[in-house]
Amino acid sequence: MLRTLRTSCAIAMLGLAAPLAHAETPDDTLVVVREISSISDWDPAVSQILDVQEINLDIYDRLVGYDRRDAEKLIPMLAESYEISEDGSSITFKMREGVTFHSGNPVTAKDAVYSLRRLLLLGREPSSSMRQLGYTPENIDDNLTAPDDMTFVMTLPEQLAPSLVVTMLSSASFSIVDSELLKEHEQDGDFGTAWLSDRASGGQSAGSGPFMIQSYRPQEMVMLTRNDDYWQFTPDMQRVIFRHVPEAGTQRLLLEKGDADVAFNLTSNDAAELQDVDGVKVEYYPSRKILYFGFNMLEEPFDDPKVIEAMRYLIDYEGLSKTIMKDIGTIHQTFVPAGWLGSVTETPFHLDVDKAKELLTEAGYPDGFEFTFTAYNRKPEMDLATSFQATAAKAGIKVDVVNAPVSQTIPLYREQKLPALQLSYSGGYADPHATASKFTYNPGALPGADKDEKWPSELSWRLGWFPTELAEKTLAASKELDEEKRAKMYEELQRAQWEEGPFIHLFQTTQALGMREDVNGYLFGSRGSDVSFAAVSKD
Amino acid sequence: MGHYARFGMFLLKQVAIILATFFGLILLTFVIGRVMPLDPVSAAVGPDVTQELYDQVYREMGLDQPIIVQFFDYVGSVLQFDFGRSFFTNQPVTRDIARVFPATLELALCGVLIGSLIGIPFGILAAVKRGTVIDGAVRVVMLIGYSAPVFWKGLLLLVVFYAALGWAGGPGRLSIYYDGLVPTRTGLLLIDTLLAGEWVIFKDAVSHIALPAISLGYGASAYIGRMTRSFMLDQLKQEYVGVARVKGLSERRVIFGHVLPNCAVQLVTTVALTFGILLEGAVLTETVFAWPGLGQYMTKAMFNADMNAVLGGTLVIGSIFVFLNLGSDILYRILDPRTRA
Repeated sequence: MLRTLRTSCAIAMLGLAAPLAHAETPDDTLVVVREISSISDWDPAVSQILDVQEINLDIYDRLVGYDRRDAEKLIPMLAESYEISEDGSSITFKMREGVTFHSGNPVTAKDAVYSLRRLLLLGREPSSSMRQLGYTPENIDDNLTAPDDMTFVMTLPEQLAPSLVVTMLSSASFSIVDSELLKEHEQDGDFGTAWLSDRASGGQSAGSGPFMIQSYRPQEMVMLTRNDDYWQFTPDMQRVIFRHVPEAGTQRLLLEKGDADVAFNLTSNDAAELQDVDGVKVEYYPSRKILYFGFNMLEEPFDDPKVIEAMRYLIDYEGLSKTIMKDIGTIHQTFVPAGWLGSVTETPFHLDVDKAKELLTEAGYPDGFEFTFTAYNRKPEMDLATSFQATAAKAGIKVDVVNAPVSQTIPLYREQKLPALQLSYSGGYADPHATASKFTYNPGALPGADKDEKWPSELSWRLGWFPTELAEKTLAASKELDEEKRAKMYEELQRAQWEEGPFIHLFQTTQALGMREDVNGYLFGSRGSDVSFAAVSKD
Repeated sequence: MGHYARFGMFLLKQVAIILATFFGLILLTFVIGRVMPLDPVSAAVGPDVTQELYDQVYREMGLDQPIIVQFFDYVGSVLQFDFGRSFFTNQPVTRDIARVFPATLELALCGVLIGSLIGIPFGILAAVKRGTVIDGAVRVVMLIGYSAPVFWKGLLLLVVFYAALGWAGGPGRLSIYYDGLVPTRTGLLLIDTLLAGEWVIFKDAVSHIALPAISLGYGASAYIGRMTRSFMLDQLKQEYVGVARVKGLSERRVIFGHVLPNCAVQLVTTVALTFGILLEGAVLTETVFAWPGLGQYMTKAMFNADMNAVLGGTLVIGSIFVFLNLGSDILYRILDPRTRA
């Protein structure tokens, strides 16, 4: 009896311990391992989280968007064509015939009106683009109309450069949602956002894109299935699975082993080493995220622009780019990401302690000073702060670094209470206005503005910078119809920020994507709205 | 007073202690939630919203109410098992915990089982062979288990047994292609797969839980083993052991018939506390093995000022400890007649 038991146990143990066959992922399934714990809300009009926007870009279509098979082409999507009126005050979209949402409902101009109106009236972070276009709850109904099912007319309350408007419309915020479906799930006038946000309960997606959400378990996985009726083409992948794997080393193992096709959060070391691993490739893409330092001009000594200029010379850009930022960022000293219209890519600042000391002496601080510097409590941000602490010390400046989560930093930042900080910014759409409107514009600085009014969502206001002339120029640049002139205006704004602004931009981050060698067609661009896995194939 | 009456009094006393502990726990978690310099409104709606929306959400969260009103609102909700909504996952906290807790429970059970199966026999062996090479070897192995960083242990196990040898499954609870194929009944995958009669998926689940459970179990065995050794040594010094030996009992009967039963009470407490610690969520193990459990959930919540999730999770963990203590107290009374007096 005992012997039989022992034999059975041994067989069972052998069965469990026998090498498991680790097949490659199925040919029709793309498995992406990624840190996706920040996903909380699937509604494109609510979530500003990059991870959500990047997935939503393939769940929803926009009126116009980047071609999912060619990131260079901005094409009409749900609009078959569009026409901008001569004076630039309105755009008429002719909707594409025969396109349906995942639910089977047809896509019509009424959905476009509903989606944009909903975006503004929900009032969440993505709605800032609608406000920049000049829409308000009062004027929205007069300016968005659908004369018939296939015609959508967008009248612009503010006259803006058409290229700016079209680029804005290509961003994830302007996703066109299934109005019939959302109306069915509306509760207390919430435009169906409670239903749409909560994908954990399952249900249909409200988009018309190449994929739809099949299942989602927060902080665990998102599974997408192909939309077989997608109007543009049928994706090769039947399923796309995003699996939450927080640890970079674990992501690397899964990729090497063939249990994952794409790894998203590799460290620079892992990425470099993977280059030599058989069956794996690493591709580097510039991302739209820019790391910056900010100094509060309402507080001494940063009320003197010379002091901020001195800070620009106390950062070891080159040293950092060879160490901490190696392969994960390139030196970029302005707010418009490289590759965007009007981006200035020259890098005039470098570590120069003598020059910084000279400037500090001119400003009346020959012996330096002490201040608190709040940095995001994650890598590489914490390391940037530590490096700055060391180089600033050479000029006699004592930097007290406080590493804090964003949730702790933002409330103080919003109340103008941080003397100095380190954060990052990612423009919501691929136009220089997306970042200029944050870094050289402060509504409180415009002539006639109430100086006591608070503008806590504006970065310049948070640092007490009121650049009247630049704020006006930023608005003028957004309205300029001549593209060449417009590019020049943004170049001028970026250089002016160097002269008098409180922001020091350091790096544009790079996304390293580790992929199995057979994965092709993954689109990942710095414009934010040209991210897609719809054209992925394995061959 | 009869035995049952005394046991009844004991239980009543325990219930009173539990109620007081819960009240203290609720008060503490509430105060921590309010004292922390974090902003739940930004966490919920994002950093760049307009002041109007910010103020509106601030009011909706009841943060404009006097602190005492907020406290009683909170107590009222907690009594109905409503911990609010997590801003981070946008789900009710109770639903989140119900989702992540079984993963942690399953891992902790396997971990404590492995820890006990290794720790207790080796602890006994080390005590019986005290001062010999065997004792030394066992203590060194235990010390390594206790002091080696969990993170390093986990990655090492993955590199060797998953990546190099292919003997075990990789990170996560299941291979990706089995995801969603087994209906959730208990949330414990090892049980759900068996209930569904899915032997192949059960095997896959075992191969996935093996490494994190061994990683946790090894750490736990180091603690349980060291404690077992020290309990055994205490008992081996007692006179009754000498008497038993003089009476001519075999060494095996002395150890397993007399010494070990006398260590049982302390061992129960040690194992229960180890289990409690593992249930708290082994954050690093869960991170390395991409194990979607309570540890990862709570850590994320804390880093993101998701106070509802933090408070809900803390209450759940606190309750676990309270009940484990109660359980071990009851077992104490059953196993040790002296505590019944």
